[in-house]
Amino acid sequence: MSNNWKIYEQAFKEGLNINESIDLETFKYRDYSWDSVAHMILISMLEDAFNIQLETDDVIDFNSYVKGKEILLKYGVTIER
Amino acid sequence: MGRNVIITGTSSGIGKSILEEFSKEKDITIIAHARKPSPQFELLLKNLNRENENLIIPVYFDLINAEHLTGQINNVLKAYKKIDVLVNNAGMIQPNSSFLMTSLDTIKESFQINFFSQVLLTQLVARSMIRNRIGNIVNIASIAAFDVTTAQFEYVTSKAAIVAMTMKLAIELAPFGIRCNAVAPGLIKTKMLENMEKELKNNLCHQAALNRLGMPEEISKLVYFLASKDSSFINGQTIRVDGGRGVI
Repeated sequence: MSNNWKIYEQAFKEGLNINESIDLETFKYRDYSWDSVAHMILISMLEDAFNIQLETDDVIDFNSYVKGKEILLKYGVTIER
Repeated sequence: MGRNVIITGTSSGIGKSILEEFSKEKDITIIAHARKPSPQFELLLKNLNRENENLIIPVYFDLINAEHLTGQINNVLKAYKKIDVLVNNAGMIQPNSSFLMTSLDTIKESFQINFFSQVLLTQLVARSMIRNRIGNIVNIASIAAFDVTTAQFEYVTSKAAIVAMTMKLAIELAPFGIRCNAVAPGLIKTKMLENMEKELKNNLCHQAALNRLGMPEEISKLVYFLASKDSSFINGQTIRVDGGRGVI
């Protein structure tokens, strides 16, 4: 597992306070604990970890675990296993 | 480590007074916004830096230009990872005219400067505050938001939007440890008053129980208080500083 992948997974688990058993690949905004408050915590964790600053439109579009990887790629952050 | 503070519209009037008030704080770093560089503004910053041995950094952008604002503030946020306080002070008032004699473009311009630029700035800065789970936002509204006869349509409505924004942000940002309050100045002795008709100015002055104009420092001291720990249980409020006009 790559370091970026570990950081990405960790941010989801810590930021959204989710347990190990949830399938992140299908995880979407509004699922379980992913509300607007948790969303901003997740975004700030990712920005800190990868030293980037997401555009507001990307913060809004970041609506799933899979979509998030696509958005981070725009900022030069590759999330691969 | 000292606080990092962003204040908009600091070259004159209430904003200049707010800058002077904050600059008295030890170890503070102030990002002082102005629309464009000027010898007077640069001299002001130089003098404040010398008097207080603090760091005051100018940042220039026109609030009408959202792209420029975003670029400049993103540069600030890259340089300063922690922003403790945002004071949304900058604003404008158009020459007086009635609603039916005001073009939509004029109304849009007022809203861009008095409201939308502050929305955008707050969105950008609040994200930095969220990261640190602490922050303080102080907006400068106006008594015109409540006493609608005191100014023209676009000023009254844009300042009313600031009051509503203050309440809404207080709720939405509270989970992140961010407070949001506003100050609603009455008639304050600044350059902005020059655009007001003399008769209206005199009438408004007499309508305050204290029967005088307010001074910029009578606003800035409250702004400083609202941005400090001393006001830690005040949130979502717009506080009038109007010499008692509101109680008459």
